[in-house]
Amino acid sequence: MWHCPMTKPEGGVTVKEDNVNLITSKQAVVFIMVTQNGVGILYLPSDMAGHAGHDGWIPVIISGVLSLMVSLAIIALCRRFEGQSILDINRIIFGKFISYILNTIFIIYLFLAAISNLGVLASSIGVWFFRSTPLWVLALYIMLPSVYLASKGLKGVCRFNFLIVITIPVLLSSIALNIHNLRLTNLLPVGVHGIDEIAEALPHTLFAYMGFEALLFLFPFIKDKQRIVKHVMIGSITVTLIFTGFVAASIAVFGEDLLAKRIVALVGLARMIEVPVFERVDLYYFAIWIAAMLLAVNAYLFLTFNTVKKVFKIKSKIILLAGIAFIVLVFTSKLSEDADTIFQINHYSGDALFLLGVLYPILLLIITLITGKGVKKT
Amino acid sequence: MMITRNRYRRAENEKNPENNIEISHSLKDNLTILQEQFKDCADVVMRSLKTAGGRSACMIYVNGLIDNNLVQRDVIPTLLSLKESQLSELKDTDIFPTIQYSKVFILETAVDYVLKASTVILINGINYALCFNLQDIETRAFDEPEVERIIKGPHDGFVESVAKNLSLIRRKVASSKLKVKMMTLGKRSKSDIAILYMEDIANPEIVRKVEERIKNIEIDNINGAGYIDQLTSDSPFSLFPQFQGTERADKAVANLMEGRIVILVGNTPVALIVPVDFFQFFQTPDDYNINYFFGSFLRLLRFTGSAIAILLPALYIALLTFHYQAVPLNLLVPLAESRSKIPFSPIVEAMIMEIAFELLREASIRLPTSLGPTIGIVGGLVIGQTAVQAGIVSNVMVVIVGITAIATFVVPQYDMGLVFRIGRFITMISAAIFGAVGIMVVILFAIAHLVTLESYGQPYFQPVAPFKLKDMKDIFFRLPLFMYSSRPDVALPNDKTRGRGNSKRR
Repeated sequence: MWHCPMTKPEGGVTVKEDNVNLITSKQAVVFIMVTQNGVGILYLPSDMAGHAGHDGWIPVIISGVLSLMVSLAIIALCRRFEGQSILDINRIIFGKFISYILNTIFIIYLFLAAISNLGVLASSIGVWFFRSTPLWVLALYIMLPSVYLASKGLKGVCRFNFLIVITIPVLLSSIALNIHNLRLTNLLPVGVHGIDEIAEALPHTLFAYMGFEALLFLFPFIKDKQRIVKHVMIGSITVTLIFTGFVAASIAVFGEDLLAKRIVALVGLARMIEVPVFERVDLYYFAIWIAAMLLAVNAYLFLTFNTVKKVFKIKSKIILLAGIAFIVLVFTSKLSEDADTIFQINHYSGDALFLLGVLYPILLLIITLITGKGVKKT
Repeated sequence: MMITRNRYRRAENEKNPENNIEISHSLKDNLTILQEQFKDCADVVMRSLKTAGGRSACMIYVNGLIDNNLVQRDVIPTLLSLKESQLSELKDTDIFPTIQYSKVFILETAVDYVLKASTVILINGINYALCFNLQDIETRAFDEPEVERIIKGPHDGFVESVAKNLSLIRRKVASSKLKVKMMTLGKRSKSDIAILYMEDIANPEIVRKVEERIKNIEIDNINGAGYIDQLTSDSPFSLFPQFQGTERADKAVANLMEGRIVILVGNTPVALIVPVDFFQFFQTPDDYNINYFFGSFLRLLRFTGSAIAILLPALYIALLTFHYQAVPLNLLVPLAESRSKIPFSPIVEAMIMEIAFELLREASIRLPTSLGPTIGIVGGLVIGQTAVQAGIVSNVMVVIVGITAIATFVVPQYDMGLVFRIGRFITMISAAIFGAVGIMVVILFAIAHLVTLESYGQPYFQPVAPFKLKDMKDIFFRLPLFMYSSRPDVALPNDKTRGRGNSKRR
């Protein structure tokens, strides 16, 4: 059985987590699921349709399987080091100075992730509801609950994630209520776009799957580490199925050409739903989806907060939170509302995720396997 | 920080020699001190007597608090016939034919006894006081509480006396496992506090926490249960009630059986229940006494009512200010017609009506019942009909305010109702600035606060977050009673099972 290490392992690092941050493995997996499920999924179908045509769902499913593999690699890596986070692992392997630089790079990545998620959220609100309100005002207002939650610790963030029971049904209902519009012939013939195009589309799925790398930071906080593999598998497969289903359904409803032009497929699907009394169902859908996107913002804001606190050893919670919120806000306000800028920043974070969340842990795992570095079981 | 300061003060008090004077053998000396203490207390009576043995004695009591008949029948004759030979026995045997009787050696304690409605007797040559608890304090009968009426179920509610309330609970729980811890609180008011819990169910850690927090209160006067609520809650700045106050004995007992702790406070009929969760405030004893189906219906009705109370005016504002595309066309036309003569924006219109309603509500509490119809006329005709005719508010707004007003009364708990009343204004303002997004942000912020809130270390928003499937049987739906074989997890009960439920299932 793996315990949260309270003793002093090799690298001279003590992990002492206070009560407000300890979570169960289920909560950790839900944390990852909501992070993945919030923002990326909005743009995924049209992005896929643009790159792989009606075979757009194939890269999504491949990506899902790969993300599961990477998650397992991350777990294996963290387990070699008695369940410590990537920040401590860096310090154990590379020493104090180099790890400081590496950890700073990770912090920059988390900032980028928080900014891109908040940017998508705020700019979609701008596009859908408030065209003339400045982006920073929307971003400031919408991030208030996230900042509040980050101040209350990981436990609060994870409890807030129970909203997943609302967001996933909302997503699924947009498909279910459009069942009469599904034209499966839109998906045929399968594989006509070829392996090249599908491989080319793969990197574009990364932004949607962004979130599994949270395990790198969350691992020390998990109480029941022995059950994490099972739960990660369940969570990862669920998310992959939802994403693949959603992309396939979007293609089946709109067809690849129309979908490539429809930037937000969820709203497009919702607009086709007709119910008595309510008009413009898409507005209601979008309003509820704000909650889903906020969950992703929560996650990255908390991770940024916690990581900066740990690496730079800042004691004052208020100064730290205000500082992080300010930096995130300043950069978010620099984004513009048009879809191109948002696609751009999403791809940047996708690339950064590939480097830091996929390549780096796998590389580290291989190195430690070869050199035999790591903390032994106690 | 505050706790250490209080402890310091308490230690200082104990050191203070004036509070620790022992009763001397000389009656004269004792009386000099007591006369000084009770100077200008016209209600304190000091009656001099002489025993059969010729010793002088003094009986001290507060007029109107003691039972004159009993004292005259049982205490005075025994005292008057007290022989010298009996005096030596007095210390070890009870020669007075009364039930509650104690001996006190510290003068300050004797003073406390006098003030707490005991009859205290000092005898010359004896260095202790005899205290008889023969009180006769006027209390009302166990009436049905006005704010917590139910249809089917017991109609007795608490009164202002802790002893009587305890007896009411003991009548319903004839078990020696029901434990009661008594203490007094308030430097000057010396209010009685009773902490009740089921020894084999309640979590000892939570009991200890409750006791400790109440002991640490340093205040001179406890005027009601709300004082304890606010002084010991986990997050004193939160809008949400962190104690459940009830005047119903059956509710208190039901909560005891779930492992919760009931705090009875002297001079108030309200008992406090901890730890609590959010959903508890939507339950009433009626839910369990009627068929599960209707119980569930009422539960859902209350949640819907709460959602209406907090969202409806805000939705009106958001739809009319920003999202009029979302209003069905058939509705949009009459809406526009009714609003065409109104000079105000939706938020101003809504604020006028909501504030008018809040005024009406507050005024109706103060008004004598004979003036009730007046309020009805002012509220119904002047504020409703005439305001529309004068073109100040639209018809639709009056309908919305009416529905919202009724919906706020659906929440069974007054404290939680207050949260919805205030929350309504917050969502309205937010909706006026950011439309539907504003409403969403307020709701999400409220949920963020609710999930981080704790009541005595227990998550406030359970069993939804953290999710506990087992406890969901009693949240949005009230499932059939035979499914209630386990206690809810909120109070971390030691004994998790209640019994096998329906006898047919055995």
